[in-house]
This record gives sequence, C-alpha cells and structure tokens, in this order.
Amino acid sequence: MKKYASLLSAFVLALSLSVSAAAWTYAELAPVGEGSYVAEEAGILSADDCAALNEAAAAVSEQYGCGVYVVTVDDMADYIDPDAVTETGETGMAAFTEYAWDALGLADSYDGNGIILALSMAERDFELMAHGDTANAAFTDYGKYIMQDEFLDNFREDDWSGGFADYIAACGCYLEANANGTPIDVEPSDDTEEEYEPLSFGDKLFFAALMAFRFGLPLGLIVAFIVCAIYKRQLKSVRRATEAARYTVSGGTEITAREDRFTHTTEVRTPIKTESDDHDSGPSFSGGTTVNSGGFSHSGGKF
Amino acid sequence: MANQVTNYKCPACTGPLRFDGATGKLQCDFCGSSYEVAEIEKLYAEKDAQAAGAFRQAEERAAADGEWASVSGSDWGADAEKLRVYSCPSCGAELICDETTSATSCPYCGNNTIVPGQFSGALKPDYVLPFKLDKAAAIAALKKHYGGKKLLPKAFSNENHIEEVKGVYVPFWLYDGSAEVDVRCHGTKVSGYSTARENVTVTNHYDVRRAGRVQFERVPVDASSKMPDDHMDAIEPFDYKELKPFSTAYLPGFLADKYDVSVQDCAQRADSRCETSAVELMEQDARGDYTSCTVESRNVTLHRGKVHYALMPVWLLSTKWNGKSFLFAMNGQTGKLVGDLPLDKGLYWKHFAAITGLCMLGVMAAGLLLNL
Repeated sequence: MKKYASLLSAFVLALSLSVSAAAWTYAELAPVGEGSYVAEEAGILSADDCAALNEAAAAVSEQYGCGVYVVTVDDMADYIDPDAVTETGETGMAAFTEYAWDALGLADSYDGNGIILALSMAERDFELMAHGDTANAAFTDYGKYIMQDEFLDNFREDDWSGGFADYIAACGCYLEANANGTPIDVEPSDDTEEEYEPLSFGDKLFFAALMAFRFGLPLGLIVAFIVCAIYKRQLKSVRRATEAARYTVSGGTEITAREDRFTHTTEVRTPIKTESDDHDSGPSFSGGTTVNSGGFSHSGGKF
Repeated sequence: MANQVTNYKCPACTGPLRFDGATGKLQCDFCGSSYEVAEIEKLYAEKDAQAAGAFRQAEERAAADGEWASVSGSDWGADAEKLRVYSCPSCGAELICDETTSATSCPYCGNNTIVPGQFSGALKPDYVLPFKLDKAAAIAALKKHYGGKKLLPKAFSNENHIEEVKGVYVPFWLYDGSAEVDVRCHGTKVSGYSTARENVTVTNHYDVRRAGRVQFERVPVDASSKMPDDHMDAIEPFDYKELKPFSTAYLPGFLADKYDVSVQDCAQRADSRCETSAVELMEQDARGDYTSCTVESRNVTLHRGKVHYALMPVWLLSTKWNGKSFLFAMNGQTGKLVGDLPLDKGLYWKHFAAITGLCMLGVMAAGLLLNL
C-alpha cells in the first residue's frame, strides 16, 4: 500500500511540474487598433496623456505618411528573451522593438513606414527603431542619435508625457526635412574627389605670400634674433673668474661630515585621461542609415 | 754714482740681448749667439747689485729731501710723483718711466733696459713664468681672433696697429690657503608609478648637510692696477710647472712692472673665488645622491696661507676705435687670447633683416611646393 502511495505522489508531482512549465510563456502585445499610435503597457501615462500623444502622433503620421509610435512596457524580458539573437541579428531592446513592430501590426500601415520609441522601465532601456524607405531616409543614424537629446532630459526626470511629446514633435521636424530633400544627417565622407577649379599661379603666389607673412615673419624674427645673438656673443671673450676650482690641491679636499635626514614625502596624482572621459567625443557617423536584413534601423541606450 | 738701470749685452759683440721664449735662452740678434740664463745672471750679478744699490739710495734721498730727485726740468705737477727718470746705459738718453716700470726699452737706441732695484730686497718676486710664445705668435693669434666675426667692423682690424703688440711681465700675487665649509641643502628624490587610473609622482624630501675642508694653492690675482682684472682672469690658467725662481735675465726684450696693489688689497678677490669653489664642491658631493639639491645656508671659514709674488707673461695690445679703448691680452705661455671686439650695428641689422627675409622666402617656397 505504501509503495502504491509513493508512486501516485511521484506521478502527481511530475504532472504538476509539466503543467506549470507549459504555463510559463512570454506575454504578448496586442495589435493596436486603427488610429492608435500609443501602446502604453507600463502604466506610466494617464489616459489624458495617452489621448494627447495619440492625437499628436496621428497628425504627424498622416501629414508625412509615416507612422510615429510610442511603446512602453514594464520589462522587455516579459515579451522576449533579451539574450536571444533574432533573424535580423539583433538582441535586447532592438529585438524587442522589432517584435513590437510585428506584434502591434504596424507594418500594415503607411506602407510599412514608421518609427517607434520604446521604453522598458525595469532596466530603463529605450530604443528608437525605424522601418521603411521613408522612415529610414528621414531618421538617419546621426539623426536618431541627436534626436535623443529631445526626450532623454525629460525621461531622466520621469517626465514621460513631456518626453514623448518632444519625440513626436522632433519626428515631425525630421520628416519635414526629409520631405524637403535635406534629411538631418552628417556631411558624408566619401571617397569621390570634389570637383574644384585649380588655383591660378597668381592665386597660389598670393596665398604663399600670406603664409610667408603669417608664419614666416614671426619664425624669421625668432631665428634672426637667436643667430644674431650668437654672432654678438662671439665678440665678447673677457670674463671675470668667480671660482678657483682649478687651484684646489689634488687630494686636498676632505668631506668631514655627511648628514642626510629624511623629512617628509609628497605625492602628486594625475588622473589618466581615457576616451570614455571625453564626453565631447561620441560615436562617429559617416552619413546615411544602417539598415539590417529586416529593413529596420536602430538607435538606443539608457534613460 | 752707479746707474740705476742695466742692460744685458752680448759678451761676444756687445749687442743687446733679449730673452727668447722658444729656446729659453738669452739671444743676441746681432751675432746670433745665445746664452743660458744662469750664465748671464752670473756675469751681471755685480752690476745688478750696484744698480739696485743706486736705486735704493735715490729712493732714500728723495724721501729725505721730500722731493723726487729723479725728476728734472719742467714742472710735472702731481703727475711727477708717479714718474721715474733713468739714464740709458747705452746711449745716455733720459728714460722717463712709470714708478712701477721695471723693464723697458730705450726708444732711442732700442736697448732693453732693466731696473734691478724694482726687484731687489723685499720687492723681489719669488717666481717668474718665462715667455714661451713670441711676438709673431701673438700677432697671428690676434689676426685669428678677428677672423670669422661676422659683426666686427671691417675697418677695425685694418686700423689696429697690430705690430704694436707688447710683451709684458705682469705682477701677480699667488695665494695659498684652505677653506672650512659647512653647507646645508634641501634635497629631493623623485620616483613615480602608475595605476590603471592615475600617474603618481612621489617626492621624498631631505635635509642635507655637507661639511669639509678644501685646500687651494697659487690662486692668482693680478697685482697691477694698470691691468684690468677681468682680462687677467680670462687668460687663465698658467702652467705653474714652468715657473722659475726669479731672475732679471728673463726680462730683456719685454716690459715689466712691479706690483702696486698690495697683498691685503688683492686678498679679497682670492677669498671670494676660494669660497665659491669650496661651496660648489660640497654642493657637488650632495647633488650626486639626489634628484635636486638646493643650497639653503652656507658657512665658510678661510685660512690664509703663504702668498708668493710672481711675474706672468702676457702679450698686450691696446687700441682705440671710434673713441673707445679696446685691450687684447694673450697668455704668453699658453696662447689663450681674450679681448672684447666692437659691434657694427649696421651689420647687425643687415644680418637680422637678411635672416628674417630668408625664413619668409623659405616658408613661401614651401607653401608653393606643397600647394597649400
């Protein structure tokens, strides 16, 4: 009897474990309805805020034919495995925003053009992601990088609605600039030679003469001063003797006392400057937008 | 009364003898004979003694009478006190000399004359360093001194009367002594290391004391007020291994003066030089152990020893140019020559402008070549 009871207990235990394992799945984002641009799962925005942001995003999206979206979640890890690499080669928040793009059905609108600003509150991660020709043209790598200045200051003070409002307004500017043919970007560094008119000999001579006055004159004055000082020094050879070292008796110098007493130590510490200390130097951009195999472009960080 | 001056004549032909530095002998330019110094010394010992005696008598007489017996003729005023008049033993001409002149040459007959009285008794030098280099060497050295000086006026060397260079035995006091010195310094030893985040410089500080004794011998100070001290300093050193016991036989052919600055008056210069060297020696010893060593206090006690009176050989040329005097002095033993030269301001500014212009042209050419 005891044997059958223990076998039954083991079977029930195994069954419950398999059930609980089957029950642990990722959460899912529900597709947004038409006319909805804000997927606020983290509960950081009030209903009024959501409505206002939705209205602003809709206006910009309609005007430029490119969806402007906001997504907030408590923790992206609730939806995806942050360490898993997607087919497009992304992980973490980048992978989450690509998941959100698909899960929310955003590809169905505006011919697949859109930009998402997603926040994951647990680790304070944010991601800007663009998809589609229009979106990737308007939101270049450099453009996405500097756009962060628009909303990160708000987010650092937990001003969520303000940050998102600034983000939507910035998207409008970027889309307008792109519509005008001047998307916000760095000057491209390309290998093609610029076409320019060669200078005439007269112009070269003029610039060379300018250089001669700007650099050659001060250099010449310094060199002339030093050389003439050396020539002048050659004319002087009479000097009064102040010491009598050559008249010391050989072996006649005797040191009778040598005392060396340590008093104290001083230290000077100089920090070693590293690249990360230089806040003025950020990532470098060569222009354009880096798009992965899924047609997505990304930029993110911590807020 | 015996003459106060003598001149050394060749025993063979009675021509004037002069000391030749190259051979170290007295040479007759007339018959070519040469004689050892000791030989002539012995020959003229009695005459020198008589001349020295006459010199002393004249000095005593002048002191007793309250006037200088050796001055004749017109009233020289205050300058008369510094003059002496002698009669050339060869031609009888009157030689008017400075009170310190001890060897000269008669401007009439060219004979080299010596005033032994200036070097007798208490005034006798202990040593003489004979001339090694002759007038030709002095002239060559002067010409070399002028050469290569880009800012020297062209006319200067032409108007220099370089042939007037004169060999002079300059009187010097040679001081022996020692210095006890006690020096206190602040020494530091610096080391350093680096961590991942900073470079650290560690400095250990020390109180350093060095004390000792330094002996000096024959520190020279010129004993003639006519000779500028800085010129005499600048032609040092003299090779004391060549010093000879004094004899007037080394003087013919050269000028010589006796001292007119006393041992006491010259001592301060010797003291100052010895003190500086003593402190430097202690500082040098301390510096060896430290990264830096700064003297904070010093205490020097000088002990004066013997003082010797010596005549040193110097070739001198005094010249005037544009109203300014220039003196050139060459060590008659080693050939070291010193003397400040005048600056041609026009040449200075020409060189200055030329060099500046060349630099500007160079930068311009570089700009054209590099197409900047």
